[in-house]
Amino acid sequence: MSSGGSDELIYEAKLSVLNRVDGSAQLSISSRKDLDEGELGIICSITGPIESKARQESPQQSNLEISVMPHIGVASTREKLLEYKLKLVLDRVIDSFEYPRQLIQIVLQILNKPNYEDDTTIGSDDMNDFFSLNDLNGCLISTYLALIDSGISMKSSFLSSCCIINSNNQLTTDFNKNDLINSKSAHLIVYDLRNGKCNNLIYSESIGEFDEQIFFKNVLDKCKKEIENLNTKVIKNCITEKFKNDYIWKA
Amino acid sequence: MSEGNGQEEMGSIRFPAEILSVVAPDLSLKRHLDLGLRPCLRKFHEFKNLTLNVKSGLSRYDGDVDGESVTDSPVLGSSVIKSGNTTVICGITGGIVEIANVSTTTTSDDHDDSMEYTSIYPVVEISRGKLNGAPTDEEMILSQQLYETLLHSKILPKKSLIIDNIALKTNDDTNNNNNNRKRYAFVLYANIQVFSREGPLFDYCYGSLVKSLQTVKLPFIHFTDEEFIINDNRKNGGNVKPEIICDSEAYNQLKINEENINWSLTFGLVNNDDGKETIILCDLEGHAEETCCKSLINVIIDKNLKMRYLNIVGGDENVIIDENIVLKTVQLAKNRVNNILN
Repeated sequence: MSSGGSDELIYEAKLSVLNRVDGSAQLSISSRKDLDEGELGIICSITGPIESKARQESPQQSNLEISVMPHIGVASTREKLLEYKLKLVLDRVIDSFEYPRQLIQIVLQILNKPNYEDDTTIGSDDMNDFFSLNDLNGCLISTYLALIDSGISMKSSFLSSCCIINSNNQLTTDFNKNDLINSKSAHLIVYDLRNGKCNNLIYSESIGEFDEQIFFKNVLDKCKKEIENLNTKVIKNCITEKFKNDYIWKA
Repeated sequence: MSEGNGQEEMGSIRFPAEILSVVAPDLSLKRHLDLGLRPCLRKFHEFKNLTLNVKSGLSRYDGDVDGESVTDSPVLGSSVIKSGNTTVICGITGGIVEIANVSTTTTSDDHDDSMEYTSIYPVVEISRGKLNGAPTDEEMILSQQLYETLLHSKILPKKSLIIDNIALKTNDDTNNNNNNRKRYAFVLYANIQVFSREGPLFDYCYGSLVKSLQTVKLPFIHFTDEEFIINDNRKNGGNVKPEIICDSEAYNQLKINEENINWSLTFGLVNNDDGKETIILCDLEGHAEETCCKSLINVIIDKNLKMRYLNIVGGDENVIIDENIVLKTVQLAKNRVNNILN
């Protein structure tokens, strides 16, 4: 288990947690400020490349099948939308022409969510559920780790980060459910990495009221910093540890 | 093919443009772009023509349309959008639910302004000329996207859906149980039908949803006199259920946050041959553009030309999305939204 992170968030990651699939990773993200909040926990498994059903087969490239399971209950349209967004990113990074007529199955299970109350009062929506940026962020990082574990060819490395602009116009990556609901805007940014530095913008999603200048000056810089931090402090250690374990008999 | 000498004569095959766009969409798009056109024959920055109709005569309180009254219709608000061959029809219907008591709502710790907004439950159906089966992935994703986008746009305040104008009859003379009184609110459902699917579907569905929402008229509610008895302490058996009647003429206009009314636009980004210039395509349409433009920018702009949502997908590694491209796209979107909404 590798852990570390920035001033605001603690990431814990572990590779090869499941032994009957080709690649797997477990990730948890928690706030450094408020440890009682709980953590966002996600486990990801990857099977593939395997033989695909004739219906799913494409002649020149591999096909992706992504399923996201919520932490309570069964998958709904909310998870369908998450799967769709994940696919937009993964289609770009997975080297699908390397595995023609094959299938890659990615299953993500959300294990726990921070500050989640099972609110069943009539007429009260759990707004947290409709801000899916945090979940998507966790899903993307854990999928990246699981892809590395599975040894599937990728065109580039990628990592994501999430931040909000709160009502005091402060930009922060550490936020809880209430901060998110009361925020002016919330942003999810995915970059591809080259030599440990953020290179090109792969995906971004911003909700709420904001202007272009703030997005390009402040939001992107903050997220780039967070992503590079995450890469050097957690991801690299995690991968080094995996390779050490893989070659344990060699020395 | 001639059998005699065992040689095959390889002739060239010619495809009409519309078949080539299905067989080799990338080639079709490239050939058009080289000519400075798109497969739909529009220019790069040219938007599709759009016709909006909010007086469609489908709604319950639209009055007499063509001599026919539709007072028994369950539709509370509607709109029709036509663009090219595509028609999107949106009808909003409603239901009534019991909500938490006044006392519990106001003392809640989580009470804040942002939670005061709600959304509509949309169902999108895309007609494909066959019998309707289970909803496809595209339909489910669109519905969920519409739900979330409307919620985050903060257009529909929760309190506008609360029913506070019911004529009440109580068997309790002292009237001291006001705080325990059951309260009711409307929930809105949207049924969106898409015919001749083509073009940026999310934009049209979202547009029709917002436009219909502006026309929603909520019915005046009657609870039948004899049966509607407020009976929370269950003195008299407690099983009396109110019968709800929606007035066929009296209504209240739904109060929405007009300031936050917004419009969605989707742009595609492609690289031309030498890879130096990125071309922005407005309102993607047709098979070639939809399958080959993997880099997309979706912007939602409100009436005051402020950005409410931005989604950038860099699906194509040859297209580098930088500040210039995004700012250019946002400016195009602002001009278009200014034309549509103001």
